[in-house]
Amino acid sequence: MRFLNLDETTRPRIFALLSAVCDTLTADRADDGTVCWHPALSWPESDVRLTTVPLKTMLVPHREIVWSEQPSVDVRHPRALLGVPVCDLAAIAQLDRVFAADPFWQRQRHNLFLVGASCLSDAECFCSPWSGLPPCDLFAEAGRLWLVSPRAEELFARYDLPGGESADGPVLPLGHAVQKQDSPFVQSVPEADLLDLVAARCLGCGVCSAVCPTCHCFDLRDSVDDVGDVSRLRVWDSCQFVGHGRVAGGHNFRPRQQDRLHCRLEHKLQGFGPDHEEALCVGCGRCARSCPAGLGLRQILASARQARQ
Amino acid sequence: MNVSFQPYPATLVAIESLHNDVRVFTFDHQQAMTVQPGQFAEIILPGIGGFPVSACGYVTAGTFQACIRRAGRVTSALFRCTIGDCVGVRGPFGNGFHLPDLARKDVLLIAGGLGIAPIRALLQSVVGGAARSVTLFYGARRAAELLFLPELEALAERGSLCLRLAVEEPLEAICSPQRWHSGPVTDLVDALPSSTATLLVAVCGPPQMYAVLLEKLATTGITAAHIFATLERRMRCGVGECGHCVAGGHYVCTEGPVFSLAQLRQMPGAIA
Repeated sequence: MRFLNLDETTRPRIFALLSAVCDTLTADRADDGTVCWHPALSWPESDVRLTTVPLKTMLVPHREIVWSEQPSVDVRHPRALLGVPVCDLAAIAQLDRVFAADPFWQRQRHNLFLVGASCLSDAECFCSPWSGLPPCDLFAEAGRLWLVSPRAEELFARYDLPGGESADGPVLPLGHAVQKQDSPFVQSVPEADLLDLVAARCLGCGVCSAVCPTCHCFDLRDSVDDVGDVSRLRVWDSCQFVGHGRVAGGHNFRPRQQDRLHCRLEHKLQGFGPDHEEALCVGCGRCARSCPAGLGLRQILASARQARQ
Repeated sequence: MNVSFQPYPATLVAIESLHNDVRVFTFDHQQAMTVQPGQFAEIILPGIGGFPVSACGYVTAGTFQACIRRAGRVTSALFRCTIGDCVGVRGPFGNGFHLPDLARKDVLLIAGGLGIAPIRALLQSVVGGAARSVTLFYGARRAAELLFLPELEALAERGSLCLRLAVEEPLEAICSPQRWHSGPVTDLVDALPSSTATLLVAVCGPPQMYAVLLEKLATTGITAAHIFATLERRMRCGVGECGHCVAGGHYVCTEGPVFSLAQLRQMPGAIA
């Protein structure tokens, strides 16, 4: 795989070339403490920052018109995200499968130029063992910028930038040293009585789904605007909400919080549909950082284990 | 096939009232889509909302017939519609019933309440076909709530269908006692013949019915792979994206809604 040298002289040139074809964004901390994608002024010098809300928000927005009587024109520019951590790329790989036939996802996906980057783990995260290359265009690691996708190759082929070729490809982060018993990747959903104990502390607020990079539940809402034009929207939903499993006539297939927790844990630990039997948690730790009751995925599994002892 | 959330226009061409809050609606959608027995479509009232509903029968190509109970905001809006009004449809979704080769087989259909809707569609497709016999066990709380009764009885009179009806109210006022049973529809399974090797069973009813009925059927010796049930779930997108219909780790909208008992046993929590 080809790479470009990433040093003080090449960074500004690479950044200028990317900025000429897309809006370049980098994760930065805002005044309110959240980490969001902001316009980049130069190639980011700092380590990768995990955004508060994951990348899915750029691909399946919180509210999105999926059909309208009045066709709208999509005027969004291509965007390049500089410094996407491997956990978020792993999540995109999963959602690429879920939304493989979805034209809205595909359009936004095509518009995103992803520059992955190697990162250091913090106290909350525990990335999954990743085999193969993550789905990105470029990958920055140890002074090298790897040209991962054909369109990245094409973009830089026209310019004479110093670099080289290596059969090995980038060295991906090996993950936080999670003790085996703490790892979600070797766990099954805790038994019902243990989930009852966790559910007693869960507030059912759904923030875990909102910040989870692999959660993708949405509801379809029909609406009429001020001038009478009709549209259909897809709006983020959460399996932690009481109405998520309710059908016409009032029967609820997940009436209790523990039923809804089971649903969420089943998705993270065992996957749904074609991904069944595959752990979907990518170990970003956002659920642990955001949960007001301190119930991140690892904490839930740990409390279940303690209760069992 | 690409996912689309666009409703296709459909004209309401017939409305038949079956019971207080239950009507059969026939839509002419002029699309090359046929909703097979067990499959479902989404009916959309633009600007109000949509709901999934299975086909309750076949009329002609380009039409979709559904038996709908008024249950909420969107179905109430549909009940206010009149013939000639235009709504939207999306679909068809799901796998539908795929019974194995019916030759020399006895088909047993079991329906509870509004579960008769997809079972009626299946009944229409198997009556007069290769199956050796077709039997329908159909139950409701009260006799007045049994839907499509005249046409079911007509089929039974012609000898095309063996019909057993179960209601939970006493039977004094009912004239043909050999056809009727007082009690839950699950009781009728007790009267199955001892040789069940040739039986293929399809079931649709309220969730509470499944837990008792499916395993009871299995104890009579019917192979779990020959017992099919259609699961009701909240199906919003119909294409395995929105996550509402998940049961036992599987998307009911795309992998179902019809599953065999053998499959359901591998899906913890799918049947209560």
